[in-house]
Amino acid sequence: MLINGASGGVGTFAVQIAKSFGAEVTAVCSTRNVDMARSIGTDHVIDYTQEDFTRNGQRYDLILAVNGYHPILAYRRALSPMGMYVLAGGSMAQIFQGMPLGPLVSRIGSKKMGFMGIATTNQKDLVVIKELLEAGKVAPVIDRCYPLSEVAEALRYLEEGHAKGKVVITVERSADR
Amino acid sequence: MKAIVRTAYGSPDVLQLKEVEKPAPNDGEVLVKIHAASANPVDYHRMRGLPFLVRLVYGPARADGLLKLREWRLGTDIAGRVESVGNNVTKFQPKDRFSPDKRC
Repeated sequence: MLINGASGGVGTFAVQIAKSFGAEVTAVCSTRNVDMARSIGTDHVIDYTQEDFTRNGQRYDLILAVNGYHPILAYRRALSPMGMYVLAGGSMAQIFQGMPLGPLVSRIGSKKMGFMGIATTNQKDLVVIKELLEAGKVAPVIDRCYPLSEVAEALRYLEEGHAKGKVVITVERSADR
Repeated sequence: MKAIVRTAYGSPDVLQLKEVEKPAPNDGEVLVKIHAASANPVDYHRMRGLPFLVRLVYGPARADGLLKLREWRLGTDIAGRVESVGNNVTKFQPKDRFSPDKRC
């Protein structure tokens, strides 16, 4: 599978979860995040400033696009015949392509294109994640920690769009724990 | 307890650290002492109320408000410990480690 936006808060988890299920994972990220993407276990890394994965002839069974920027038909081109494309967040343009166009484009041939929507969590999935965390198969990648008083700074940094993994807010520990 | 409070949609400048009253859990609720939270894109979208679609989603569902801000809280996922539980709560007890998907 291919994960577009593999170095952010969603992508770093997606890579590790996919690896724990035994997938062969290609990560797409910018030059400065190539080493980090390798360090979390990806099999192949594509630096999007050097190479366009939608035009390199490779085909993937599953493409997860986190904050992607390619047109929906470009993603479709990079899918194997039975492949599936899932959009998880992104610009309004991406979401408007994924939501109404996804089901239409999916009708042509066997490739499936879709928008993840707003995630609905359930206990069953959370228990799976908890077990992966406890087994050390998934470890959060934390870029920066900010105290509660600096939430504004944390959001400013996150909004710049270059966070490597998660941005965490820590709350002061009181003496009663 | 301390909380990040906002009084209007806008840039991070609208966020203030304030002392607020600690809530008590209602029936079926737990009060969680938060150790850490993560910042997510949805937080700055809700903070700015942009793109406007965010207000259509969060306005009615989470009472953020369509034109004027009504809901002052932000935040998505948290990790902490249960501090106290309301009536009819059987699955959790104080000191339990807790990492829910916060629905506010």
